Amino acid sequence: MSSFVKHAIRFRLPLLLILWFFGVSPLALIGQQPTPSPTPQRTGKSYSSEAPTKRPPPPPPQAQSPVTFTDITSLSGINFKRAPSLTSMKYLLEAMGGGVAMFDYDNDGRMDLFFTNGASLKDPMSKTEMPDKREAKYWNRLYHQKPDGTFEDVTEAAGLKGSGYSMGVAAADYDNDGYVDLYVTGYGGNYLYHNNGDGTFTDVTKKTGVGGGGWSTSAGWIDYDRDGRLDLFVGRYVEWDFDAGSVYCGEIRPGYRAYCHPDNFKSATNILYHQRADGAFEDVSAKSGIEEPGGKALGVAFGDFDNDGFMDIFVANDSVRQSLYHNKGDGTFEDIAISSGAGYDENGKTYAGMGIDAGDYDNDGYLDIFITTLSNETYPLYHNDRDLSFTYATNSAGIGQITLLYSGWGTHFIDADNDGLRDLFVAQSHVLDTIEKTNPYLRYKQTPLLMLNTGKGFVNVSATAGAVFSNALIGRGAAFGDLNNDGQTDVVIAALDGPPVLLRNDGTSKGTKNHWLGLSLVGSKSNRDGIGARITVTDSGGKKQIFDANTSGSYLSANDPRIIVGLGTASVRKVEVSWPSGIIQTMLEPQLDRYLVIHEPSAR
Amino acid sequence: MNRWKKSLLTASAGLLISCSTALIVTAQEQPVVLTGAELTRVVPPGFYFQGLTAPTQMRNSAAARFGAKRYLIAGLVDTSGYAADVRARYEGFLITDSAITINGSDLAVGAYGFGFSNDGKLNILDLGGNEILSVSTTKDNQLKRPRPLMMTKSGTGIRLYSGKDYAVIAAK
Repeated sequence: MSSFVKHAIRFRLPLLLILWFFGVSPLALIGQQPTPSPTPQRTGKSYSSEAPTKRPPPPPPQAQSPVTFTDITSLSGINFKRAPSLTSMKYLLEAMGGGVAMFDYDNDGRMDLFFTNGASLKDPMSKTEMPDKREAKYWNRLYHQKPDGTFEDVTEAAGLKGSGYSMGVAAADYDNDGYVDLYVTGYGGNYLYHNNGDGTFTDVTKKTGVGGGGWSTSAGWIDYDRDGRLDLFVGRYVEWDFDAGSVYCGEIRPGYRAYCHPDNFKSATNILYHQRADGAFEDVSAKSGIEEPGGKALGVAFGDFDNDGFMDIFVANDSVRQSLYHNKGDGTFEDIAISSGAGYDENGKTYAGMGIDAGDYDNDGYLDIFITTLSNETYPLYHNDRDLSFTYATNSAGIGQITLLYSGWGTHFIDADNDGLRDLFVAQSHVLDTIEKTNPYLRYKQTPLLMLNTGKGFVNVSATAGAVFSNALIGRGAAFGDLNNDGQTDVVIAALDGPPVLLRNDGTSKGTKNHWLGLSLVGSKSNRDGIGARITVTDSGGKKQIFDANTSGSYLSANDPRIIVGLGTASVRKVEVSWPSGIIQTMLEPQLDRYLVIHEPSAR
Repeated sequence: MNRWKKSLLTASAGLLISCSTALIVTAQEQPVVLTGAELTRVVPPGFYFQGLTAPTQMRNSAAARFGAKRYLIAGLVDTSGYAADVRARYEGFLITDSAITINGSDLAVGAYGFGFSNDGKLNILDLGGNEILSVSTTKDNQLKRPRPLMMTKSGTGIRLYSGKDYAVIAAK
């Protein structure tokens, strides 16, 4: 050790420690500036500021996975890397994206992929500046799947580079012309892209009046009044701009600035657009009862929770009460989250609702709800008690202990092994890139999670579900569907900062497959995608499974519209489709292990 | 009528009047948990505590009326403007316009801060942040629909809940 270093340790180090104790930065004394962030004038609450740091209980033992997933990203030809523009200002906006849509834009029978992207941010941004998407690395991206299963970037030709700082995507054929259109949400405005049917899209936002504003997150297409035309629900997060968002959160020392907790910002209202007969949309948020203050929407799921024939809307809100908008069937909704028991966790506490999905995990004929949250909150699973009330089933179903340390975003009830029981997949990562500095038990990058439904509860099978479940990443949105049309549900995860991850479901390691039936709906009197149709499948053993057709759920993402029914070793006795038009259609003993296209009959 | 009979009649009438008065008073003092417009009329939109006025979380507010015009109001506030050490203790406000008891301990007329702690306490703070009362809470595991803050009637008092934890507040 040099004499200089010894001298420094003997005389300067104690002095530095004393000065630090009194709030003087030692780095300032030795002439170094810690970060380019300006000296904070205002301080706010960060996500981690109230998280307990005590040693957590050990995770429950994992079970053997019946299926494996293979990471096929490098084989796919997809070279997209999401660019969030991470700044020293820690704008909350940059920590929350992005999304992915799995849809077939050219009707060639193969799922294509659309990714939302960030935009260039200055560090810092002024209040009046807006994110800049002109540089190619910030464009949203459309990838067309080729017959060999690889993808080609067709963004420019399609006209889908986008504008602003994009967040989520919703996909459906809103004008019933046979081609799936895209709605892209973001900060500062949303965009509706009409699919022209020739590989190109046209921005029809102004013409249709669905530009929104503020900070929009998850959106979804729904025919809430069953008039045959799709309507649009847009979740909005918080009242935020680059001035309000410049508040300093986290510990005031170099490297500890953290993303702010949403408690620092006022909630934003959600939007419901009703589609008129002329193809334009009318904002009916207020008169429908959707425009209720107090939510901070991140995820949205649709489903008919009381089996009355009208789709309801469940919104996952961040750190405030959740919202369950019950569709009263007369064009209005009532938020029944509190009376239904789904507004809070079992202790009456709020949590950071982020991703969400609706599905009937116990096959009792009623849709249940699953929500992803932050670490130390556990992921809420609400069991539908059949009377518009829900029971918090997280712990009784085994999910609490599994998810205590995880932070989840995109999620879906998938029947990974097609055994007839809906399992749960979650894309994960903590929201704070500084979390490991302030909590020794939590991780920023996290592995995906696969929880198998055993019929008695859920067990973690991630460790044996493929190597990808050992690779930690910054997961955000996720889309679910069948990329290779083999009847097994694949997954695409959108990462915050970097390439997406494509996971091919390779089924069981023994090569055996359970039976399945794929269903693709084509409406005529109803909306063409059949969104809102209730499908009831009765297998040869008499077991029934229900599905509500839609592409929403997860986080900022849109799923393959087709429905895959896992059957185990059974065959199908009956498929019944209750269309939004009121028409009920029945098919008996369809052939298994293939996709069945169901066209809505023109009359009852 | 002899003197004995007169005395008995007078005593009976006095007893009857006393009992009736007591019954009327008891009935008037029965708590009523307020809802709807009656609730929003009494809950303040914000509350001053320790150097800041923070907005009330209106959906997480509750109030009760003891008798005709004695009010007890509680609400959670947006504590994001406070330092972490204040947020750790302070969740919302408790306003009472008459003397009350909390789990049997006296609390005078006034406006206070409060916080439910993880170790099962309800702590009452003065506006300067000084603790003036701390009582143990009870966990109600039978509560079906817990919420961040609510009141329910409990005999002649009310329960002030934070999730499943509650303390009993009664008029003095």
